[in-house]
Amino acid sequence: MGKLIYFLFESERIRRNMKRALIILSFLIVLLLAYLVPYTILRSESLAWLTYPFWCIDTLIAIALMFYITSKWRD
Amino acid sequence: MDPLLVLGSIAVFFAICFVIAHHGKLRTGKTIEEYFIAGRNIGSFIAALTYSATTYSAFMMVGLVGLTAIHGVGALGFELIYMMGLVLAVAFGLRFYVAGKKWGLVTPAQLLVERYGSPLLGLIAAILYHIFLIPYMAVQLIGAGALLSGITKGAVPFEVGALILAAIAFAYTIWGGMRAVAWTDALQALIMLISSLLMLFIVFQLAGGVGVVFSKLLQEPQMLSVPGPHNRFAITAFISMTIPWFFFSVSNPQVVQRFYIPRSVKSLKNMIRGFLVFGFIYTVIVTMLGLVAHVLVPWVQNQNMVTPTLLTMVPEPIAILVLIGILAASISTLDSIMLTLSSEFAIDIMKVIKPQCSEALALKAGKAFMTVILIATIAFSFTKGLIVELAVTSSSWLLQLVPAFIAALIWSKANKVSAYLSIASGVITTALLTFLGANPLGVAPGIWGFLVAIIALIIPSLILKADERGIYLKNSLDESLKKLLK
Repeated sequence: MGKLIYFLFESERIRRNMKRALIILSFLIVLLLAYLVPYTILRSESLAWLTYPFWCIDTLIAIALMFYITSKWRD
Repeated sequence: MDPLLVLGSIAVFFAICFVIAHHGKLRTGKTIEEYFIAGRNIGSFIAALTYSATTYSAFMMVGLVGLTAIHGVGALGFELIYMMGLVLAVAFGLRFYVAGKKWGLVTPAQLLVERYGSPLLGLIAAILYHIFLIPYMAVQLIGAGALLSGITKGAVPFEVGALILAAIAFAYTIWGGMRAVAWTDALQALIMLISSLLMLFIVFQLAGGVGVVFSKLLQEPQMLSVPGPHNRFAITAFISMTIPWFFFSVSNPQVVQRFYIPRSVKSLKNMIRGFLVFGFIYTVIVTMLGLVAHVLVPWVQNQNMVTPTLLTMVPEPIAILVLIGILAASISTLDSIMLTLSSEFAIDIMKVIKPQCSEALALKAGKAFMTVILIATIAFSFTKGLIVELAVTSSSWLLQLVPAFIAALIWSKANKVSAYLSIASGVITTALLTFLGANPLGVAPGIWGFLVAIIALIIPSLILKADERGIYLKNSLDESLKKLLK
């Protein structure tokens, strides 16, 4: 029984850590894209107009992630 | 525009602000904690708006509009990467809040004193804050001076405009403390948002409508992409500009101090979320204004003069509302920095110079020192430097304190020696490279200083033995956080 409780507790902890790692990774990707995409793909004249909407959408995703992280905050 | 009408409108608006500030003062007790952080009792709505108004200054409506109008959409990326940096407020804001409550912190530098057990470290941080923030405070006065002078076609000289703003900010900050600042910030933030939105609507109409503006912009693809028509946003320059900006929410003490003011974790959460929404909308409005300005006033090549020129083209009542919105943005940043620096002086400088001084005396000294800060800022503003450059310079220097702060919150191995070494080496590296005029690999001195500060923090922390005090404080902070995040 003790082992089972330990296993359940540990798997919950691992699951939580993986979730946290996934959020951090997602944020890093969003941030990296904010630098990479406008300076590579969107530099061509035909795609230049996409730079503005791209940065806006990228930031909105970052904001959504921040909302998600803070949803755990409680008094 | 008639200078009397302009000055009269400003007088009416700030009279309203002063009434609000006075009510704030009536609710403020006599302790240092009450005066500087409103007794940690600010609710969600006001907290979100004071955070927004403190962060957004004349830099936005004067500096960023000009930057976008002349150098294109790179300005949007620059500002939105700042917004992404709010992830640091999300990552560390709760720790600052808990540490503030647990250890009774009022100033950001007090965190270093408490965690590393060194009042001298707090004193050094407080002095550095004073030095590095004066250019950023001057930015607010430069914005106001340029604007008032531009809109009245020189009838109100630049210096007079700057002095008016300085006097108003000084008057109600010293009068009411944080509660007055937060309440007036809230009103000012709303005016900033509404007036800029109204201005955007009108300038789009003046330029012939949304369709006309975008079809003209599409003919200039360089305006819509990086590095922009004048290569202002070359990748190294972009990195140099955005890194200090990314760390703004944990490097600027007037912003960090706002983590101490919410009355609950819920208020703190709403403060950050509210700011994210406000910031995104405001940034889009401001950069759109810049793009329209590029179509409407392409002949203006001085960044600081784009907005004043636009204001001469819109109907007078709108121009006055926008002018007040911009002055509100300037003043709300200026008063917050002034209050923070005053608290740093009262707590982190006075208490080291004169350890026996009473709380009342320290508070008086802090208030008196505001005058010195104000005079230095006015003097600096008369240099009329470029707003964007001055703002980024301030943040680059402040960046050197960030590793010591973050380590104080999350790393038990960080110690007093590593914190000293980190701050000293970061500042010295930045100073040396700046004075030599060197930008290795095209990256600004502040970024190199920051890298050195990180290394100087990590290596001694790993080599030296962690002190018991640090381990105990870090663990007790972690325990409190665990309870909150259950």
